Amino acid sequence: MHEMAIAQQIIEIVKETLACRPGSQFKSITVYLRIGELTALVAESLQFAFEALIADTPLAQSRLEIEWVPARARCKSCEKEFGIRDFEFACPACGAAETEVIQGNEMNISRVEIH
Amino acid sequence: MEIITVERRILEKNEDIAKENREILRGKNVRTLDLLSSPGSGKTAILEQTLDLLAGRIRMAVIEGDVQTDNDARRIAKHGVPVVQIITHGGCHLDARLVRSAMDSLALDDLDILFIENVGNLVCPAAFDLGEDEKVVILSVTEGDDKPLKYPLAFRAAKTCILNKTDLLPHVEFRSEVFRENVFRINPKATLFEMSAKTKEGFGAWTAWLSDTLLP
Repeated sequence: MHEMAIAQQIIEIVKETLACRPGSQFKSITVYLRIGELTALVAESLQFAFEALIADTPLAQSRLEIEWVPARARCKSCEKEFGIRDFEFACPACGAAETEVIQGNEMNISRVEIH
Repeated sequence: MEIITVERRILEKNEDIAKENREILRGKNVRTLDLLSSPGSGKTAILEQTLDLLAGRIRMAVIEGDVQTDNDARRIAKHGVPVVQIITHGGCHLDARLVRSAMDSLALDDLDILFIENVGNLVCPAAFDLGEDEKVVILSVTEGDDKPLKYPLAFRAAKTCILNKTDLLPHVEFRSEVFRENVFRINPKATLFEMSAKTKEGFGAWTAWLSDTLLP
């Protein structure tokens, strides 16, 4: 349940973002996230934690939109790039075990929409 | 409607503090290991044996993370090393800020190795950089040989893996060969130690690695 700690950090960043725009009026905020598949974050838990933390605050009408980033790796032997399924990191082309993850570990806020 | 481009890492605050922790610890020549495991796999018992085996040769300290109680810190303190207890009050993992506050009460100049015993949990601690040199994941044979595949994040985050309670192998359905295959499938470069904190079997390779490979 580290989704709670992650939701807290999202709210901190949203507050900082809004603080840079004093006086701006809003009804609701949509926070767009880019989350890598390898983070194993549970979207429902994150939404639940976020909603619990914003209840009865000025951000109460806000919501999260998650864009999942597929897990991909590059083989260190044959340099082929491939999608990682079910945490299978070995190269499907040449079988080499040593591969480098090139995406899928992201945990970013990409943008905030103010409505 | 207004769109604000943010492009920030959600855990940037933790990552920034972890980076500072790493710089402080490396600056003091302290090697730091973050120990991850599920509850009851023997993190504290492994530490107790390790502290005794390396006593007098390597200067060590322990940061203990627990949801409640200072039971583990009291166990560690009996072995004559500095220990700082962090109680998370329900928090499922340690973060870099908590570790920093614990670091502040340790005499880092007098240390070679700092062990951080994370909260017993094979999921959340894997996501949080504390500023350690390495994460070490510990599994006991009673937990099952498929766990590297069930908790790939922890086994991927840790460069070093310990299989504990090997003295129980005759009594449980744990296939060591399958376990090793699973570890190396998730992390081909993992360093694997197999030991029993009860009988001390297998501790030689582990303490040799600590004193010869980890320490410069």
